[in-house]
Amino acid sequence: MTTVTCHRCGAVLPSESTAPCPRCLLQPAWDRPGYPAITLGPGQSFDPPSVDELNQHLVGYEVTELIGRGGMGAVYRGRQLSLDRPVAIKILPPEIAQRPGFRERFGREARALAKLNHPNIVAVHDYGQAGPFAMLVMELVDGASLRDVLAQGKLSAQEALEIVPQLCDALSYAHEKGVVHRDIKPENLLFEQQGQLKITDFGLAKIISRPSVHAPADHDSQTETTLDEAELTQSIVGTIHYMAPEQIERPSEVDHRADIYALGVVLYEMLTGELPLGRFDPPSQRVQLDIRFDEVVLKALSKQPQRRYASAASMRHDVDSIHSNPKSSASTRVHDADRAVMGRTVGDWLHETTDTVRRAMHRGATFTSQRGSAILAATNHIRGSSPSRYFGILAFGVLVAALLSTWFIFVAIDDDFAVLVWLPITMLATLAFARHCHRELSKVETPPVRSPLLDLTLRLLYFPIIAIGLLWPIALTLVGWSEFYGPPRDPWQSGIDGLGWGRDAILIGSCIVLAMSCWFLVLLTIHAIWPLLLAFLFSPLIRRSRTWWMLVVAGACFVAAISSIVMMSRFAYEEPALGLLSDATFVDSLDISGDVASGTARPGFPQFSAMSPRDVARVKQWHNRRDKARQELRVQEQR
Amino acid sequence: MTNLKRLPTTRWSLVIQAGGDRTDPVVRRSLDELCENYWPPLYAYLRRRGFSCDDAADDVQGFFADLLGRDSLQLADMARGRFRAFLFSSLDNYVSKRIRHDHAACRGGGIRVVSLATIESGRDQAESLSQWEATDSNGDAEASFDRHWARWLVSKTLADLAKEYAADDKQRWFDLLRPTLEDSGDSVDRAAVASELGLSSTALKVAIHRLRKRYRQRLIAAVAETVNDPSEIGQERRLLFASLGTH
Repeated sequence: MTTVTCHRCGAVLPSESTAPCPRCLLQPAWDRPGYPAITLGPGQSFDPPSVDELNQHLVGYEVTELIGRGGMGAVYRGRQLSLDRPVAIKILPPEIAQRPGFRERFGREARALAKLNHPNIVAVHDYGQAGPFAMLVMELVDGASLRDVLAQGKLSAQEALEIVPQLCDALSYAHEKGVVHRDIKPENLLFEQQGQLKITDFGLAKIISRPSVHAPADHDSQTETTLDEAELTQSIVGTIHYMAPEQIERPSEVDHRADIYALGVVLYEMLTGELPLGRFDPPSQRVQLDIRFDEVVLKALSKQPQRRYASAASMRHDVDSIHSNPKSSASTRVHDADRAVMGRTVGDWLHETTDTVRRAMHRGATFTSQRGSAILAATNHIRGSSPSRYFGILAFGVLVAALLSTWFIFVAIDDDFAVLVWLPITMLATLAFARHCHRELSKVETPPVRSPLLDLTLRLLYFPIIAIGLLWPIALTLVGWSEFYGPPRDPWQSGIDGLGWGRDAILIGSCIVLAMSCWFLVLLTIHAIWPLLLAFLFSPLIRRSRTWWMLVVAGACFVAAISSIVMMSRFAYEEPALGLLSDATFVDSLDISGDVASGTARPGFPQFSAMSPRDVARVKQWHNRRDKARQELRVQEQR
Repeated sequence: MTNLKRLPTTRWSLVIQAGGDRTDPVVRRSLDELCENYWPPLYAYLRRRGFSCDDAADDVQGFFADLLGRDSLQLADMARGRFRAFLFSSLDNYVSKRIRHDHAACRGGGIRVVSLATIESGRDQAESLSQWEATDSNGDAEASFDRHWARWLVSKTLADLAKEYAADDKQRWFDLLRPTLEDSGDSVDRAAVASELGLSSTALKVAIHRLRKRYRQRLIAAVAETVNDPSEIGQERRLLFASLGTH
């Protein structure tokens, strides 16, 4: 009998057998302990009671097995005897339940939690006391937690897009009811067997933390200010990697935006399979992903609460827009091309530089952190070390060098062509470099910190591009005008010609407005259809585009320009009674009616759309004749 | 280690704690059930040693009859604490004694707990267990026994799990999801499985997790059955894992 080996572990298998490899099944690769979530809270040394022990304390419920335990208590599977339904029973450690004033607070909070009635929130059925333990009876979710699901690998963008809206809905519902979760983490996000999400442990962190911090109204301000370190530590309840900075620094000021931060961490972890620790890359740099996710994640993970999403609903809105406007292949491709162009070497080098800077700063900070809480110091390190200045100086230096080199070519070689070639090349290279710095900076700092010098450099570089790109219709209109009608009349001339100049100015202005608004309509239409193109080109400068409003404004300008041209042409040329002098009167006043008779008089204002080359020629001819006549008139007057 | 103390006492540890005193009905039943559950690796092991089908069946039967017929187990037999090691040394003793005395061992005296019918019905299974190895290659009898034991443990766990799923009318689920137990699942076309079962991809992951969780619980429980102290479960599992890798 021949033998084959298992392709995973190399163990011998019988050749004709279809049985699975026993070696792989005895210690499967998936059966490894996950890393423990570091939970801050008073229940660290909690030793949950056995099922029998707990059953002795319970009335009306029967406990069958322990299904989970953590820093905040333990969860048992049980049955409510009266209604004969399965329930989950959460037990809180005795040291919490025995605190003074706990019962009233627990009752108050539990009643608030029981009011939460949402398909994505685990319902609270009952609360009470089971011997020395405080007890919360909840709906039983027989499925898996997001942690278990993540143990099978990171989620695809599509899966994340199915989960996040449910999460946002539940959170925004609870936030509207005034309940903040405070401990959103994958362990608390459960999936039913059909895949529906349920958030559990709502508001539990608040119940568990020290009352003096979260209910300052109950105590005088003296108590508030004299919290010693132990009390402060006890007041911080949550899971360290999912806690917003303010949750650690100022636990009393925690609001719903702490949940938004935790949501950002969870989203990052879902997409990349990693935690956003320290200096982390945006998700799209870790995995092939729509770059719009970066914006959502980074915004939710802003260190300052006011820079995060104001509500879970607005975060859902952004996520939905990714969902409804599915990943255009361009959004990822642009990013890749962008990366390929710059190459990894520059990025690596910059990373090394910033690493060195951060290490130096870290050393300094370690010295100071020896007093005071380690956690507070850790967050201060991250905030204190900002490499933005170095990036700014670097980018500005490159710009100055580029300009100096151009000037050198101009002076030393004195070749216009070389300057014309050299200038755009160096400018584009500098722009690419500055943009790369900008991107590196937004990777290093979350939320992205703006460096004024880098911004200035980018603006200086962008200005010519924007100026040429946006304003060329003005030049075109002026050139076109003088091509068709000759130069505008002399504005300094008084008398009849003064009116003529006014008419020219209004018409030229209208034409410019018309051309500009046409151009903007084109630009904005491109932007509306393909928003990533312009956003990519000008990303460091554009923060929020209001395309539709701009389209409306440009359309209004367009209409105004058209109507002003039409009105001017009618009033100025056909309605002399209104006071503006028509050309016919003008010619009459010049006494060159002979021209009119000979058919060389101004042939009426042509329609722009119907202007044939012949019309143009006639208009030009007429202009020349008129100018000649005007000159003759002047000569006569002088005599 | 506090939570380990709370793990339920397993059958083998009951037997050990009673000092092998078989007059205690709980001990008697525990041992009976253990023997009932763990005879196939013994059979497969004997087959590998070159015994014919009938001889192997006879010897397994005779061995259990001898074992269970005794009023008390020798503490020395249980010195190593593990049921597996105990069975191996006892079986080895029994077989060599039997060969020496040429079937003169007290075979007919005891009660035949593992009936002939049980052995007949499970023989195919046990036979297939013995097919794993072409020969008893390195001649290490104990290593060979351990390998059979480990394979039996896994296949028994899988069979029990399959029964559990079948009882819930989820036989199809088990058949489709079973391959995900072996590795992290990259060899399984998850999309196809999800559409076959009518699940979303998240729900499929939930189902996979539940299967793995149940499997792990059952495997740990099966290992726990045969060790003296729950703290030895991990070590026993590692030993069995190692035994499968070296041949």
